Amino acid sequence: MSDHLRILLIDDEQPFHRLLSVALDQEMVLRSAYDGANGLRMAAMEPPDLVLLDLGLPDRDGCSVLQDLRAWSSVPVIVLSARDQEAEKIRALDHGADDYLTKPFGVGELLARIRAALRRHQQNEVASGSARVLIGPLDLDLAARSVRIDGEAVDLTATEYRVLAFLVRHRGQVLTHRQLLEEVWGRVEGEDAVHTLRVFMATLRRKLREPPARPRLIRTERGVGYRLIDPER
Amino acid sequence: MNNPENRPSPEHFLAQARAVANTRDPARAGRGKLRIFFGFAAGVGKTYAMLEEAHRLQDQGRRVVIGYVEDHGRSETDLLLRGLETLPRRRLEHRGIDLSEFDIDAALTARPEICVVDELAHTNAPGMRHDKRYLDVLELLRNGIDVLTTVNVQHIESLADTVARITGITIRETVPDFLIDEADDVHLVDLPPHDLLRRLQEGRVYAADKARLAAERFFTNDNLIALRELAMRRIAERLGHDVRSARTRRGDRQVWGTRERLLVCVGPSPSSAQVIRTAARIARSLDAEWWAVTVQGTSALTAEGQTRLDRHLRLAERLGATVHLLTGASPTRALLDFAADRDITQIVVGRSRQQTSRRQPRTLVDELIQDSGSIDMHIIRDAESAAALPPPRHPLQARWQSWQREWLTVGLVLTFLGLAAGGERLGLSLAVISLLLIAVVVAVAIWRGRPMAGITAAISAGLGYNFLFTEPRYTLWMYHTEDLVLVVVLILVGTGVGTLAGRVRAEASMARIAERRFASVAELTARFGGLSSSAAIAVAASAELARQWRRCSVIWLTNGTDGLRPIEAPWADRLPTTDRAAAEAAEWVSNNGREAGPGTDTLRERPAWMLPLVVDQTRLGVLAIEDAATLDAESRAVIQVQAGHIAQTLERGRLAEDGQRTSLAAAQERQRATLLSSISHDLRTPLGVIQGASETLRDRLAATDDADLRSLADLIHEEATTLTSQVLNILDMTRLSSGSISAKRATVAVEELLESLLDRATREWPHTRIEANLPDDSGILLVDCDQLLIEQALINLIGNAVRHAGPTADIRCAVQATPESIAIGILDNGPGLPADVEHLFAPFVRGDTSGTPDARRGVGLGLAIAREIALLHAGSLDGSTRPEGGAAFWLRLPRVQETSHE
Repeated sequence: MSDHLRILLIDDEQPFHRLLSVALDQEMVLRSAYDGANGLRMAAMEPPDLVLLDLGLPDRDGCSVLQDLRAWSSVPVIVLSARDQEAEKIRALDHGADDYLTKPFGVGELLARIRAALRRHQQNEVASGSARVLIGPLDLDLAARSVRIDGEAVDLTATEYRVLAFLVRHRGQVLTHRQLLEEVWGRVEGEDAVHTLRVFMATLRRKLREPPARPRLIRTERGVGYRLIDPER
Repeated sequence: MNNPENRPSPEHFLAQARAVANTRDPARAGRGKLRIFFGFAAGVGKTYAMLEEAHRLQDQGRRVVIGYVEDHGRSETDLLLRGLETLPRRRLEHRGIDLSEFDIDAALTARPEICVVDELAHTNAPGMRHDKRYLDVLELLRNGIDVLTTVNVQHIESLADTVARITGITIRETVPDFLIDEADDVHLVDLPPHDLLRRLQEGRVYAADKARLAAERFFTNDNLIALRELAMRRIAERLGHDVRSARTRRGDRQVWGTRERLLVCVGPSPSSAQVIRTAARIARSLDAEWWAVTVQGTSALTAEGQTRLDRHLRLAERLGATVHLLTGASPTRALLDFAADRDITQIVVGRSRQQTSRRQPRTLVDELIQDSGSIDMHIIRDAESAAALPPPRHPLQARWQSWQREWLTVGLVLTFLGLAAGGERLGLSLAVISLLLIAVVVAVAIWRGRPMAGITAAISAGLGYNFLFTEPRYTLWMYHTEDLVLVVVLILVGTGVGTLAGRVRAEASMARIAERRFASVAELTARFGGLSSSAAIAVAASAELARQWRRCSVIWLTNGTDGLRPIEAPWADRLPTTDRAAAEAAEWVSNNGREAGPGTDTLRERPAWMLPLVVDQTRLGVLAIEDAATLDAESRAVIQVQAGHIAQTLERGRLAEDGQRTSLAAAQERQRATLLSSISHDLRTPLGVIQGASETLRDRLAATDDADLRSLADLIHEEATTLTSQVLNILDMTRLSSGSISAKRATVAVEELLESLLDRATREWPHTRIEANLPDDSGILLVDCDQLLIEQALINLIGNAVRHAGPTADIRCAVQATPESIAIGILDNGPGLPADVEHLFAPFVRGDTSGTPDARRGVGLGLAIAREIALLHAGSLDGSTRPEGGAAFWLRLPRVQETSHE
């Protein structure tokens, strides 16, 4: 790896490239592609450390770009979507995007997401985590399968534990409804499943003594899924 | 904020309730109330009672004006008139006499609540708008003005002939009975007859000199007793009518079993008026619907007869009948067909004094009795002259003309016989001669086309043949039976053929009349083909009417904003129809929905006959026909039918125009939404970039010492953020209102909804305290919604709260749950809401902009969008001011029941 982190922005809006080329952190350098084909070519020729992928590309569907990319690269990808592209966004997350941002967003927010994604990626590569995880009030011992909140033991069902462990393993990352359902129940289809998941999550949150509407651990990603907060963000 | 003055008063609610009650009877909605003070003779104290009532009403705070009161020089009346506002009278001169009349225009201008108009039966001086004062009163009522008035029993239309019989005085000033029956209140003012006579003698009724004259002719004790009884009977009848109509309103129709339906036969005979009045009385006592019909036979009426017939038909109409003109060679057939058609149960007909004639072996009455089957017949004794039906001919002249024609027939036949006699000398056989003679009789009968001509020809031919050709010749004797047979056959054939030819001809002429009626409507309708604009239809119609009736015709069209406008046709401004008085007349016709001009009761002096063009109470315009005084009843009937067609066609045109306007407006709205949406789309990206760039700029400048620079960067960033969110709002609005957003619903837990809402709100307004209260132990609250849209709605509400409650705002997000619904409330500690809360939900409306400086920001779409979103979810959004101060907006959504998981 060089000193500079290469951020590849695949977006057809030129002013946005100019903005990011200035706004990015000192240690980052922007690589620009204005359509999907060029983006993939550049990602292959000069592998980036992170990809910012706009879902509204002129030449091809952002999701298919992501699928092609994922065929040979595990580079973190943050998708950028407009408000009327909810469905594409969720599809992109299901297909392996790490995070998403909905336009218009603040530059500060974007930078924070970039840093978090990069850090997660590095951690995963370096070590796949220890047996004991401490996040805020949560004390999870993966080996002993014990859960404590604010020092008090919490009694979870097997499924609840599986969901919590899954969230903890991917902490800081958005997990879509589909990914959660697939991981825990192995079934994904239908509105009913999402309904069940929401009720299930509400119960889990109560057991974890999360204050309603202001959770400390598990955050709701509206219409997308859930994310366990990243303790270092 | 909470303005107590804007709260509706109890009076307001009462008025509303009254308005609702009124609309239940559309014919009465907005009508004034009629109150009649009814007496049996002059001097019983009607005017006095009426004025006392006027004072009483005025004391109650109502606005009462005196439209017209005749004081007859009575001092008591004079006294009572004091203290009441009196309208000026209309002064005019007629044949050198100064007259003063009730001024309807002054009353309409003054617009009192209650107008007092004495002497309902009064006939107005020529030149006034209406012929009769009661028509003035009806116009006041139509304009929503209550009227107090007086009338005497002898002026009631249906009682006029009874009164004439009792007193020997024919009353000319009459009012139709429906005024009594449909008045809201009839108050009988009574006085024992001998008291009245005493008052009369004391000169308290009329000025002294008139009193003696009046007393001699009218005010006898016997007369007064009879009149008093008549008046009381009439009131009792009205009471019965009240009871019955009350029962019908309640819906029990069985009270009076099967409904009676009455038919009266009307003719030009002077006695027909009496028959009509009798029929009206019977109809009223049975509470029956009734029709007045006249049969137009083959023969034309004299001008005088036509006028009388028209007058009789109008009389029947005034008395409440529906008038029909029938055609048919046989009056009996036409009447009975009509009766069968309408399920008539009773027929009223006048008995003719003129007995059967050769031509008409049976009278109409005989025929009707014979053929009427189950229909009851009332035969009214004829006071004076011939039968009501069929119309009599010109007595002498017509007879003479008809005899002349018969002599002509006889002459023709005899001439032929003379020729035949010569022919016989030349060797023509008798067989040939008799055959030729039959041919001649047939030819004459067909040519003349009347039964009588056939008979005349046959008889003269028979007698002539007998005289000339049968043995013994030149006598009216005959020896041979053969000859007798020949003569008899001759007469039979002539009579038969003549009758047949006559009937064929009569039917042909009937058919011609019907054809003419049909054709005149059909030709008019043909003119409308392909026309869709009201103006074009009106021009075509008036051109066609002008062609058909050889009279100029103009149509005024009702124009939504400008009132009535005459059509723009080349002939329109050359006519007196477009002068000011005509325009006013047209205005009257349109406003009152009644005809005016010659042949009607209103504005009879105007040259033009004006008909309202109305469909289902929609005023479309006015049709004017010039020089209408010379139109006969048949033509008028056809024109009325044509007016109906014109109105229908205009209505069709108007609907088409409305449709075009509506679709145009819809297209414009779509265009506007598309434009707005595409502009917002185009603005969105650059604004996002500006926002991002200004953010970066601000962050980089945070380290510099230059405070000005820092504050400028802050400013750019804040404004860019505001602008971005506004553009997004506009975009949302256009998408919501164009229906291009459909909610992508999913079951959402309320806590998750609030979580991401607060997340976003904290990011947008980092300095405002926003807290959330979820009910304790409420279980898991679920709603079915598009989370993004609901969040947007709530963000808009929070945005409003932040703007209006100012920087120190304390905003609370509360949740209330019922088994059926979940309400999410955004409550603030700001100034609360204005009284007219609903107004705030209209697009581009901003709340009180005098408050915090921030309140002036925003395009006023926030609440409109939020409500649209709530409605999209079958929910609701309401705002109110909290008792403890501050505004509260509650967004209510249907609740989803929690189902067990796994």
